[in-house]
Amino acid sequence: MTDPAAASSGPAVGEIRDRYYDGRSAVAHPVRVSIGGSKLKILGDGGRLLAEWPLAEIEAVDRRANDGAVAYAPAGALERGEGARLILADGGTRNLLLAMRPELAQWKRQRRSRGLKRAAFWVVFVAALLTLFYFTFPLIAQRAAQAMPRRWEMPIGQSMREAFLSLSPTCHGELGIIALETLLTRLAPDEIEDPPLTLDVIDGSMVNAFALPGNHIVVFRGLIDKAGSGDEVAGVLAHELAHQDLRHPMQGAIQQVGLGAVLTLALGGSDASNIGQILVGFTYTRRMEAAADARGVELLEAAGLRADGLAAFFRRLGPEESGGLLPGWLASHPGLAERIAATERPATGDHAFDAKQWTAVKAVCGEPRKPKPEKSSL
Amino acid sequence: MVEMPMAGGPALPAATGTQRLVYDGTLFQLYEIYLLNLVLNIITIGIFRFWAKTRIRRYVWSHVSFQGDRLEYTGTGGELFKGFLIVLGFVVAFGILQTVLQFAAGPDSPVAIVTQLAFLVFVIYLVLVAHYTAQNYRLTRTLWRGVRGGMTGSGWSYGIKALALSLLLPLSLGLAQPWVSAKLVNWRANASWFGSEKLRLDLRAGPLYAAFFVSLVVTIGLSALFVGAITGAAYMAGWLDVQAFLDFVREQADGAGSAPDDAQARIIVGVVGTAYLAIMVGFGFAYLLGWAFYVATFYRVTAGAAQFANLRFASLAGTGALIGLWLGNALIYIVTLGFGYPILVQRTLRFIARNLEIRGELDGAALSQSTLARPRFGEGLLEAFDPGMF
Repeated sequence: MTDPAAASSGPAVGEIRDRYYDGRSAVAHPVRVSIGGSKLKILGDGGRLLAEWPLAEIEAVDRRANDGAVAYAPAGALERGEGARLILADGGTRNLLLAMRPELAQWKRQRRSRGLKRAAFWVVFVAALLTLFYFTFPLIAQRAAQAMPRRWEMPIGQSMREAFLSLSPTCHGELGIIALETLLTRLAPDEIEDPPLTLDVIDGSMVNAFALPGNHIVVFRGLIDKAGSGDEVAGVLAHELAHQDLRHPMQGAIQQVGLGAVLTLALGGSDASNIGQILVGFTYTRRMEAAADARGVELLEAAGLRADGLAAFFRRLGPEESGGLLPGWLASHPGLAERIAATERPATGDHAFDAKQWTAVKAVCGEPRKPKPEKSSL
Repeated sequence: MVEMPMAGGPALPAATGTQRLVYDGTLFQLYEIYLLNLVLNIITIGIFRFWAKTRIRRYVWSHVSFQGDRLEYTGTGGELFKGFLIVLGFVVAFGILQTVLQFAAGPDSPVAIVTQLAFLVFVIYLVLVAHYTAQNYRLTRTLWRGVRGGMTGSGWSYGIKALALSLLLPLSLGLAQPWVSAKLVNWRANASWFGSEKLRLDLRAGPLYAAFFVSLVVTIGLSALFVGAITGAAYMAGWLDVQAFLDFVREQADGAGSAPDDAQARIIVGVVGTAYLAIMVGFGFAYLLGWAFYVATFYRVTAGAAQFANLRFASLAGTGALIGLWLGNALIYIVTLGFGYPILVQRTLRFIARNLEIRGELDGAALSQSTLARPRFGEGLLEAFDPGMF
């Protein structure tokens, strides 16, 4: 083995500046280089041949701008993690090599462009992956939600229902509740019946209704006050029932968690990921609302009832929306004009309630009150 | 930097028999790399960060020399990226599992709470494992004179031991910190190799405790001082109208409130802003000034207890120098809004080169190539949880 001490006391500094690492031990051999045929010969102390590299397979590894030295490695050494290197600090020797392999002079540009190309590939790959994810994830979430037994929703559904009920007192107009529940039973497909559907009317002025996990539906008095006919209320109830039928509460939860996790991790928790979560989250909600509109109308038609109530209710809300009330509402639900167009139906079929039932429903919370212009959200 | 010394020759003269690492990177070149990184990171919304980090590391490594020969970093951005993808898969799977369980058992049920706790513990475990695997990755991707490093043992079992030990921290109200970190550093160091030689470290927590307590007291004292000063100054300047703020909060809670008007908005900004400033600046500076003593002692004791082949080490970093480094870095980073990052790298590397004293000379001929396994992917876990400086 070369004795490092001998090397430092040998030729004067500056004469042999090229070095060779053989990748087997941590010795820096001072070397001379010669080109023979198609091979680069690396000669150590006393002309001893230390290595022979095929010229065509030499790669440049790095160049230090300060002293101009360039490190070279034989082919494959980099991929295999091997450490054999030839450091040419001497300009003359480098020119010798470059004469045989002129393209090595371009190594930095090549290396950088190769690195950037690889990075660009991965960026496109990740972008494609995210796009694919964006389109398939709702489908996966839907399948997962549908595969999950409804009973599994019960514990969290119960908690959410209790949270709602604690907000305000509920309405107990017996005849009204019976009328509403009869309608629900008539509309609901058989599969939904377990766990049993529940309906609560909350004495609040919000014009709103919610479908909670576990087959719970909650309606606010404000919505009943606002509605102009029993068919409009039926339209809304059918919409909420559709959410339950399509397992949207569960799907929504899966989508929210999954989306959040993927975007945060993929984009490193940057602002882009937060914004992306919100925007994409809204797209998903819009889709589910549109699906619930369509399914709700289907349920009404299947039960032989008038299916134009939902569109009529949207039209009733129209003036408030165009008043520029709540941009947030607009973002999380499809525009009313779209929804009206999608839920237009002919005025055929039975009314959801007869006159007596409709009066009872209107009075379910005691005396009917004048509808106030309030936040509306479905 | 002038002519690099001959291979195998003595490094640039320090005290006789001692040497230093030599760092000859320049700020200009660092900025060239950094600015391109910045642009590409923005265009790719952060996906480029793995390649960006690799570019900085390649530059830094190749401008550090030991005994006349430069280090080489052979890691790639792709390796870091793939490691990250693996972790991504695990965490997403776990997240989905957790949600399903939560739904099925209800949010308040014991099952849900246990799962959330388990997830938290799992994340802490992953971070601890990441310390190990990141160190392993960097060692195997570092070449000196063609020879690379590595680690024995496994990150997974280290993680379990580390997790068990870390439980002592909350139990002891943090007082076990020097002992725990000494143990963790010892485990990682004693599993580290370079070529055919092992790093040996026998770090004892005893000598650390005096400095630990001094630093703790000073830091707490300074925190109280700074937070008090900031709050006091804010109060004098009239930013802090706590009564009005509380009134506003009470209004909102009663449901009678609406959006805040101008005067109220100013009050809210005043209170929240002061709180934020007090915590970040107050605690931040208290930490920088107070904790440096303990960290400097930690470096000194660790360096003194380490050996590699025939080399011994010493840390010359005093408390003052360390404060200078930290404070300078913090101020530069804040003032430049983050664009001063290359300056931080440059300062830190110069600091290491100046303060790490190496005694003895390593005989390269006795150091042969490592036979330890070379992990295929990058730091993955660490990428996901702790970016670090480089």
